[in-house]
Amino acid sequence: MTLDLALQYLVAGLTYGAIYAVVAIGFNIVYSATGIINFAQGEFVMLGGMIAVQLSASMPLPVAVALAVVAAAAVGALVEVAFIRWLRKPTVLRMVVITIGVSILLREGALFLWGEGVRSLPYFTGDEVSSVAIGGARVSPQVFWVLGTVAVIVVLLEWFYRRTLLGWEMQACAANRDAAALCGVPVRGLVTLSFALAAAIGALAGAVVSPITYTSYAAGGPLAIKGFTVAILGGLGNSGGAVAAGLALGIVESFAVSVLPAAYKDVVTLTLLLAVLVVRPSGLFASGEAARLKEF
Amino acid sequence: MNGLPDREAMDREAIEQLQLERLEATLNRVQRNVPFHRRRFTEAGFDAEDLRSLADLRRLPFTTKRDLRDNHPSGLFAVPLREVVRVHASSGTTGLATAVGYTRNDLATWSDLVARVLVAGGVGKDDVVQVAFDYGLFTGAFGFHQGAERLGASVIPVSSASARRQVDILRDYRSTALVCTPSHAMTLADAALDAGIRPGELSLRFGLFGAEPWSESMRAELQAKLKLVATDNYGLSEVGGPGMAGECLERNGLHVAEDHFLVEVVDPETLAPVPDGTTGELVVTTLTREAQPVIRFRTRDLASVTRVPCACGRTFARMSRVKGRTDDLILLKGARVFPSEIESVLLEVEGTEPHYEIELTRGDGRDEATVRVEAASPGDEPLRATVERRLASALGVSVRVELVPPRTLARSEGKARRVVDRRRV
Amino acid sequence: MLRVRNLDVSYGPVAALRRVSLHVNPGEIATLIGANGAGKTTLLRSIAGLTPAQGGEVLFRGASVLGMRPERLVAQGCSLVPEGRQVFATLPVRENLLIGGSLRVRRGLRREVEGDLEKIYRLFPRLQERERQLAGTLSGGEQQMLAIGRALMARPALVMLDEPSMGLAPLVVKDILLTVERIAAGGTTVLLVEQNARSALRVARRGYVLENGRVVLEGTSEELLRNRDVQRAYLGSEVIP
Repeated sequence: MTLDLALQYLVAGLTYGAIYAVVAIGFNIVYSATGIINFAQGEFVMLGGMIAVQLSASMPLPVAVALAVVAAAAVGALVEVAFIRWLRKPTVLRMVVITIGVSILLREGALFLWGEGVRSLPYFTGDEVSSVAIGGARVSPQVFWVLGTVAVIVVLLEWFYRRTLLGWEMQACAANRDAAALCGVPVRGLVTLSFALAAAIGALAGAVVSPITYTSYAAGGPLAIKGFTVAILGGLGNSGGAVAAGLALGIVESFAVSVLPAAYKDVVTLTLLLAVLVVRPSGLFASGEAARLKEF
Repeated sequence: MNGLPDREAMDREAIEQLQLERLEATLNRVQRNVPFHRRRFTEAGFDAEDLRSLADLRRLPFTTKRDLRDNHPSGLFAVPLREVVRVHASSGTTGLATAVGYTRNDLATWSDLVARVLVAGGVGKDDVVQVAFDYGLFTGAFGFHQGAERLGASVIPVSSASARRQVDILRDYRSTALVCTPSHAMTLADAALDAGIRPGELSLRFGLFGAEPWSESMRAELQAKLKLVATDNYGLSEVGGPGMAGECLERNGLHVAEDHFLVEVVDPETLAPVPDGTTGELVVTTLTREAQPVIRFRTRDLASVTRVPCACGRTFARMSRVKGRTDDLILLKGARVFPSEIESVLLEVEGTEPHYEIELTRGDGRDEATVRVEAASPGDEPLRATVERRLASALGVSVRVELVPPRTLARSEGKARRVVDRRRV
Repeated sequence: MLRVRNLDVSYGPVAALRRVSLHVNPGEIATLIGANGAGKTTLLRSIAGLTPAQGGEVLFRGASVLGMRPERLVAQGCSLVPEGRQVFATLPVRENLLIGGSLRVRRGLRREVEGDLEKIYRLFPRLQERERQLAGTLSGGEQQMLAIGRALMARPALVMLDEPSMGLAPLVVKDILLTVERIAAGGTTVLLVEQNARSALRVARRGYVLENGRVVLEGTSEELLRNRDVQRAYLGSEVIP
């Protein structure tokens, strides 16, 4: 493999990896606030792209993206209020069944609204053929948009959680819901907020990556699985870990394609997931102790 | 001082909350520790848990004097004997005296309650209190003694010294408060007169009289003869002794220590509760006693209760004076007659002393009552007729009246025995 | 200030509290003592809204609060320092305290809340030393101080403490209870639940004894200290007063 080719694979890996990281972060936000794994997270990414495409027909691109994010946040909040709110300390099975059910619901809804077709937003800058040269590789400008957006998301979240009262309250909610309630923290509202937030950032990522990957009603599923894998790999609730793991998985996946047939791309991910669950399952079935000193 | 003065001025809701808490705690303890009550509760189909409000109290069974006698001496103790640091006895005018036990806390509470009664009656820590109850098993003497000491007053335990000696002490020690039965107070008043001591020479200011029923006219006479403010107080040995209730200077009802006692008034026949203001039998439940809690004890004393706040500012319920005993109740020719009513009449009539005896006989299948009254001139026929007439109109039945010379009827040393019922064989 | 009447709490078929009644007067320190499993924590959690009750009444400042969510009860002026401290381990000390004041910040009183932070630091100087440290790394005693400080940040009229002495060394316990006295002296009413009866009765004016979910004794601290049952069961030795 030549250096140029390697660089090409690297860039691709980083791009996809960044998206996986964002999905993982979405899982983390909801998990740490509620202890629930929301398997519908992938659908939010999909919705971001689909809604943005829908809206971009009648308004400028930035506005369409912004509105899509808001709409997805609203859907996230709605999902929480309708399906999750009454779940108090759910059993694992219940949580899985209900969130998968929600994801199916959202997916079928998308199918109903937009059909089976594949869509994408136009490139934010340039077009399909424009590219920037880095070393010997040719990199689409959209890649910078993706990486940049993800970086901004991560930084903003970090700022949110570390420096704002609301962010602290969400951490408190996650650390000890009862104690937070005893401090007057509006725990129910914060849970809804966490869903809305996870949906919003998922949607933003979905919108920004859609020119590269295209999106369709069924795009959510595979994303969810990969995002989930990354979240586990990085340690549930750990955003730094999610970023690192996401990028790593993206890169591994990307290079694996050079060795294995393209169809086996997902095999890599799933094998990794299985391996992690066997060797270090503390990610999913985190006991109170294990999650005690977790950092966001 | 005794807990908090604001205790006596709590609002109704706070009083009831305290009563509820203490009643529940007492029932929990009693159900656990006293087999007699446990058995009684089960028989009545009652579990202490069923009590949700003060009104539920009426679902509990009564405790009678007979129950106390049957479980004498320590069957009703709720604590092990070694925690009982004092044992007194009830006066038992109607039979066997029963034991009354106290823990350390009970003694402390008792002192506080009596101190409250003393304060209500006008006594303060600068007073000299002469306690003329018989010191011994009877709770009255020790109760007032401790209460007065708790208050910080000076206490003179004259006990049952001779009347003449007691009067000398009143004068020489400058006693300012007198504690005894009203009839004994009357005796002392007479003895003072005999000794040529005018009321103004004594330093008495307050008299706290109790342990037997007495009338308003008797109060007026005592206040005139001894130049003091006379207040009534009430307490039963069976529930711990004096301190349960005492009149304030308004002299318009005795304030019940509702934070330590729950008082009900029931019809003596049907045992159903009667409304405030109606006379009936007093039923008492202790709320804080440790050694020997008492649940719905039938006192056999007749009185009424009102919850209207008193002008003095105390918010505790007030009971009326005791109008008589349910067993004193004389059924004469179909009418209910209280000895205290007889006393009232006698006091109003000039020339008679308020020392009397009632003899009940049955002749020819009919009830006859003879009232013997001491009078300065026993031969005074118009006087005798007057008394007879007045009694007949007050009681609604006719009685025979005999005048007897002064000092011929048995004097009281403690409670007076007034009724001799010869109708039963 | 607080009036509880006939509170019933059951966990499924198991009755944890039966017909419990108590009250706390404004400005006083009242205590509830009892053995493990007597129901003390259940009682506080029930009042605070964390555990549902099956019957009874809870009146705080005259208003019924039974069944109210904890967030709302805090807004009414009643705070609970829960059993086991339960600080937010992943957050620093300062943020823990600020979260305690979050209700008031939301009301626009941010400046005052920051002022309160100073007051808490004066009450607990050690917390100021460790301001930036993660709460999870504090010692037990420090965590207890933090939990109390956090509850105080809401400026409650009534603060309820669930076994603050648990798991702490005697010297630390003394410290904590001294602080409780200072808090009460400052005008805050205190309901102290404790297994360490001796310390609790020294600090409180009135107390209740809970046994198997029922109140069996009520009285002033002196009366409870003098009571032989209490001495035997909770004070470790029979004391001749």
